[in-house]
Amino acid sequence: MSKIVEIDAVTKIYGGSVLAVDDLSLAIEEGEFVTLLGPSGCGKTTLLRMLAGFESPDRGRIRLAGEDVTDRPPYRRDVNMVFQDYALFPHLSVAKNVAFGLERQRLDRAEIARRVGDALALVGLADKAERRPHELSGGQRQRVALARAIVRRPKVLLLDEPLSALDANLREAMQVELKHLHEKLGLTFVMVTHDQTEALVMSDRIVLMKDGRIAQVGAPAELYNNPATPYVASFIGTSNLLPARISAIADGRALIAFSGTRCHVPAPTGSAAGQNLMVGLRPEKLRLATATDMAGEGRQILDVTVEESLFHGNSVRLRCAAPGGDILLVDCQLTQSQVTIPAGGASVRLAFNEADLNVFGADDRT
Amino acid sequence: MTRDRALRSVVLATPLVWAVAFMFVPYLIIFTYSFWLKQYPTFVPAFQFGNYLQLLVDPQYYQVLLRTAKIAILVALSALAIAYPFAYYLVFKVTSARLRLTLYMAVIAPLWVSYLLRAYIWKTILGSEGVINSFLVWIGILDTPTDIFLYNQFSMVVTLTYIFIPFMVMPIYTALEKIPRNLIEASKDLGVGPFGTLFKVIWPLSLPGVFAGMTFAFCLTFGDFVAPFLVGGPDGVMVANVITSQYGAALNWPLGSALAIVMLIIVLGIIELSDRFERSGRINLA
Amino acid sequence: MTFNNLYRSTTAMALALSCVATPALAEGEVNILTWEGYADQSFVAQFEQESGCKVTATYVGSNDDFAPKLAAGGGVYDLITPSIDTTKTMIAAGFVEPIDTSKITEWNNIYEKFRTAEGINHDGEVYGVPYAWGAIAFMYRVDKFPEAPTSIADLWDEKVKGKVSLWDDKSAIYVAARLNGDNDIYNLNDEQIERAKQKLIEQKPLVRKYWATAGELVDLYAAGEVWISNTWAGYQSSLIMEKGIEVKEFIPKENAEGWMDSWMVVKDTPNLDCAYKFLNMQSDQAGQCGVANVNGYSAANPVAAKKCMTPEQYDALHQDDPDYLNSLLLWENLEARLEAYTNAWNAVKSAN
Repeated sequence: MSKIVEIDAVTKIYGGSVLAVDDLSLAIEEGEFVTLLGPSGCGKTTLLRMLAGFESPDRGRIRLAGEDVTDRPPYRRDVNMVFQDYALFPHLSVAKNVAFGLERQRLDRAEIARRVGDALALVGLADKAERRPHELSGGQRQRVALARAIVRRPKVLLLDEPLSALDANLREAMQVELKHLHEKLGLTFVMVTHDQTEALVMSDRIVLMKDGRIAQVGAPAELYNNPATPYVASFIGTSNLLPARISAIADGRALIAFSGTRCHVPAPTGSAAGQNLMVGLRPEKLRLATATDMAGEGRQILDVTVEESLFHGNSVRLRCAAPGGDILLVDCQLTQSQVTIPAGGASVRLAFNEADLNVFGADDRT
Repeated sequence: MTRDRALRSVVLATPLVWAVAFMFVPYLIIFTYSFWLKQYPTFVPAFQFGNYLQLLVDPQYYQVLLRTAKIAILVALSALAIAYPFAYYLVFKVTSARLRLTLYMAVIAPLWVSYLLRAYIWKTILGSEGVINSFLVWIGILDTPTDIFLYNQFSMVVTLTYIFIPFMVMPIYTALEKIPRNLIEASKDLGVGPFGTLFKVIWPLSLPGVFAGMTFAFCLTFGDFVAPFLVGGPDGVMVANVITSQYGAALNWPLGSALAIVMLIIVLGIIELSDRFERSGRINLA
Repeated sequence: MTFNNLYRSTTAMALALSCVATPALAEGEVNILTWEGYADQSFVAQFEQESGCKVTATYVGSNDDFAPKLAAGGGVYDLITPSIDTTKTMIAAGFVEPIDTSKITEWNNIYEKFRTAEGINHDGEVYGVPYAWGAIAFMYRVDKFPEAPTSIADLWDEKVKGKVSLWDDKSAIYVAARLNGDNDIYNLNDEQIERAKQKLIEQKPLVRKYWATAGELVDLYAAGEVWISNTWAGYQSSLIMEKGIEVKEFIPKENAEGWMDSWMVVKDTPNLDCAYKFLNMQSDQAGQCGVANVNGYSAANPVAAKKCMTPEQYDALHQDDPDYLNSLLLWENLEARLEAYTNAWNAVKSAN
């Protein structure tokens, strides 16, 4: 595998003061499906637009397949974009839309027709070639936009919130379809989204951004299971973030106290006894313990009071209060072996594994 | 309830009455006159097609119609050639909203200045002792002033172009502004440079504005009678001047009316044609 | 011509407003449709004071404006001043009523040639009070012609290419016909009109612009666009001279047309009293010298003119020169032939 995209210390400032992308570096491997994820204003779209060439960085370089493209206009970059609202040319038929980018390449008519036909067949729109965009449904327009972008066989396909304009059912189907398309074409995909589910489902790697910087890069499972910061933990999935305090440190392990319990965890680098820090615990990692369940062997027990119980169909989410007042969310899968779901006001015991705790240094607080 | 309805019918009827009284009735009167007969000293009611026949038989009328159409087309094309790049520059190149508004108003504002004054200005620019001639003599390109700038069809086209440019800029500006920016980005993203994008995306999407502007410029020029009078030369007479002359000097209202009806039909034809063009090219930008 | 109306009516409106502003003892009013200068404040103000008749003037740019304005509906104007080629049309169209000459004190002092002119006499009745007259002379810039032009042919000379102007009027046909040797210019047959038309088309490349209003010709000379043209004798030349350009009028060897304007009373005017007071003022010293001073035209009443003009002015305006007056080809009404003349003139302008 070789690096197809190299973003090297790129900074983009809008209007002289708004820092959209802040000294960001990132390398993307050929064939990867990378998602730029983050809340609005985190700089993900700006970064994508810099890759496309619509914005130019104030500092830093961008290389595409080893070539520096930082100063090249969009029409001289071997990348193509699927726009958020598709940006189909309303005055051209579907086939003409798809052929638009090919007519500048020195291809003969037959070749263009063949490639347009292939691309439309690939997205399942072979029979809509002569339609105008306004005669198509939202999902069909999305496919045209996709066909138009891939027909040029770009080195990198950029997708700007490609599914955001679709309704929920269609969006889910398209997620899968896009993923399959990626596998089939073997192209490098760089997608921008603010939807963490989309990112988790589709990506090989997620780049989670915050305030113009990368909060964490990694495979979806890595970001989910080992979030680097409380921000990552709370942006991807749900996490109980609880204040904790280090009681003692020995042999690289720390004894921490939180929510009326004590655990041994790997000591965060540079931590010392008496220091405050933060732990994260996913709701599904907590389970209702039976009366016979005991703490030990890395397992811990918490005594809490159920405040509220929310039915989710295949699961129930409990809102529980620990003795210190910390609120913990617990997801209980409704399997056959499941114990009775406690009602509000009930005192219950919760069990979890020390290994499932995410420990964040004090300076990771944000 | 009934008072509301009465009020509503009054509100609805007023413009209708206005249109009937001040538009259809005059047209009807002119239409009627066009069948009357010229008879010394004035003219008498009749129903005959002699006036229309005369328009066909006497070459001066189609000569003038052709000349008027030629000038109207030239005005429409030159106004387009100036207005389009200007509107394009405003919409796509001027980033400051205030500067854009200022430049836009600078083009529109002359509409509030008297037509005559604006036409007169061109006399002082194009005349034998005008600004251009003085300059050309001063820098030595010419020994003596030339009279090729004023009192000919060129000066009419220049003056009318200048006068009708706002009517060209406004619809084109609106059309260009309506083009979603991401279409232009999409074009560039697909490897098409600025010129290709202009011809393949921006131009076709701005055609409704272009048609509207061309129709304005053509029809306004077609009915103009002041430019020939002020800056036209011996070969500058247009249809409206001939109509004026038939109503005045010749005291031949029937012939003037017939010519007015022919002119009306041509202008309505142009408007209909442009409307059809615009409709067929109308694009759902949603 | 409609532009003229627009322009003139704006002026007229301003004038009307200024009239409202004067402390009028308005006992009556008189509304006139006339040429600029014929109701100049320099002599009309006094008339208003003395008679108590408020004068409201609307100006025309051409004789062609009278009929359309009157045909569009009456009741607006009391007096009009068409030229002798248009008066007959006014009578025939029934726009005007006979004049009681016994109520015009100066009647018998007016040139007899004018009083008895065919154009204002019909069925033993008189329909017009002759007012002013002049020639459609020719004019040239003295500095551009080392040798003074003497012929209409000088307006067809390649040497003055682009510097010629002619009045935008059927009178152009008269000019061309005389150049062709067809001297009965008011009774040209179709063939002669066609020849005149061809002559004018032949001249087109030399023409800078056909002038439509008096002021336009003045501007054309002032801007250096025109060196030679026809002109309303006495009027435009003095305006051009005021601008420091020396021009000279001449009567070409092919002769010149003459014109004469008469006051006519619009049929059924309710302001007959004021109208006659106004006619008496205009045909006496105040009006006769007024128009001579304002417009530079000759007066129709030489007796009154002699009393208020200097001998030099009297002489310059040919008031004592019957030969001059008789040499002019006084305009005649073309009647049904008008159409042939105007069509020919329009055809000239339409020709490419």
